[in-house]
Amino acid sequence: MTGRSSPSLTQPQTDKTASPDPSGWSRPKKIIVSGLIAFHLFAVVLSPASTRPSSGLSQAGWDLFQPYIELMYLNHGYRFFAPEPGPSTLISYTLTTADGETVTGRIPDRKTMWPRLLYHRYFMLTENMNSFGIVGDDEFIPFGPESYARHLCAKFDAKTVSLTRITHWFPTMEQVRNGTKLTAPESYTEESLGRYDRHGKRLP
Amino acid sequence: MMSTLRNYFTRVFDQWDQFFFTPRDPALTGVIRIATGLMLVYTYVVWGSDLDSFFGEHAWLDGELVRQTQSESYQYSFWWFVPNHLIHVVHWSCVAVFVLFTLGLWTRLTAVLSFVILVSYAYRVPVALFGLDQINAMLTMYLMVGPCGERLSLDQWWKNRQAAKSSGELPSQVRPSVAANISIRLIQIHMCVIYFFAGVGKLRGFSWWAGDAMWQAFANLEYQSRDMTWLAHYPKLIDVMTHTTVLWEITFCMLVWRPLARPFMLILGVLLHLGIGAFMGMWTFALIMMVGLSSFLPSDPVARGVSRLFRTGSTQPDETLSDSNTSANLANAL
Repeated sequence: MTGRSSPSLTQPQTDKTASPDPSGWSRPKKIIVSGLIAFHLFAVVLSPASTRPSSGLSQAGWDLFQPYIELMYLNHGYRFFAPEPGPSTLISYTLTTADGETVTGRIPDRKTMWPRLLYHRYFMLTENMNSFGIVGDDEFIPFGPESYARHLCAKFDAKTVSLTRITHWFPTMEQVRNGTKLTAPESYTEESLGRYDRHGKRLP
Repeated sequence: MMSTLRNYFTRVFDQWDQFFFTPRDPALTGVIRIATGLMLVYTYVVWGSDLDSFFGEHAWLDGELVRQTQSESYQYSFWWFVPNHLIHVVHWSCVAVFVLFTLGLWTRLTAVLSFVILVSYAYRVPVALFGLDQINAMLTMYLMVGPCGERLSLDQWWKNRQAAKSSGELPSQVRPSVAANISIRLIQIHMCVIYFFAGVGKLRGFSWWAGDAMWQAFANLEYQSRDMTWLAHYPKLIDVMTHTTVLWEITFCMLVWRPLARPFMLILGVLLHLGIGAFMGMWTFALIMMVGLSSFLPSDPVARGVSRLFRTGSTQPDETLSDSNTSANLANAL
């Protein structure tokens, strides 16, 4: 069993002088374990294959394997920097404390978030904010702003907080060759996420 | 016709049998256990530096809202049952489990506990995760399967010590194990799946075809750990890096099984991950991916190296799996 030209492969008949199976495993045990391996590997492939956009067949497979995939934490698409690397998402906040003081900040912040792994956790909070929520009546209900507002108000003992989503676009190579910096003010665009009270309720 | 079919299926079953059920020295699983364990300890010590912000009563991700998103799923986390005043005790107990797992003490138990801890943390803070957490969990899951504590572990040291005490025997010889082989094989296949989907996912992106995707990654200030904007003056170099990345990711699952291509694919993989670590600041992700790649290292030299280093008994070379042979067989079968 050592290659395509191996006698055992070209002549599959039982060799009566062959040494005993080195694994020491019985045939039924191998069959059962093979079934488990095949089941597991199917789940491993199915999870990224059913990441949208995906076919109805993949989705049906997901429905069938969902309990196992989620229990074993296999529910990943592995789409690193795909389909495009894309711009960064940051969040800035302005808090109003009980005595009227204003506190501002931005996440992620390299100066205060150290080590790099912790910074990256905060970066993921802002990057993945849009995936935090539920789908209800055909529309996505985001939980991110509400949850982040509650946290910030509790941390700073604030009454209200205003959140802004900042998208940081990257310049093209040509722009950089012409002197544009990565920190150019025009590379940032802002979108208000609203003002919230300490319970996460959006204020008018 | 029937004979040809029978021969074909016999070959398929032989290849499957040899690929998964050939005993392997558990040295490589021991090495991967230590590397993964060290990463787990580091990852969770960092969680501990800001525990209240992520797992406390007023965490960034409100516990009740997270549970709502998981209401129709099979996701679980012990964090739902931990009262706020106990989060630090529970967290540092989990870190202690990872330390024991790394050292190889009660490894069978600590491997399972480590996996449960990993998944529980992941489902508590799903939005704060990235590739590192996925690979940490994947490696721990497969280490649970194999006898990862039979080499380079306190379990083994204790076993040898007891044997020496009772009968004055030399350190016992570690037996090659089918479970160790299955564990390594599953890591290898999972790494192939990861790279394949990472690669084909990029085929949907315009910039990966246009050649400037790597520029977009390097020019991302929030990721960047070194100023790489000088690359703007070498667009062809960016093109090469972009196309190489996609080609390498997509072909990894095929070429890594070919003995001649394997070193080349692994070296390219290490270079890719070194780049991610050095220029994009994600050293933890880069290192854990390299730990996953180490599953493709030849088993025998690793076992011999470990034996020499710790003067422990090695497996019989003729009993262990010769990785290049089985890989070549698989490649032929494919």
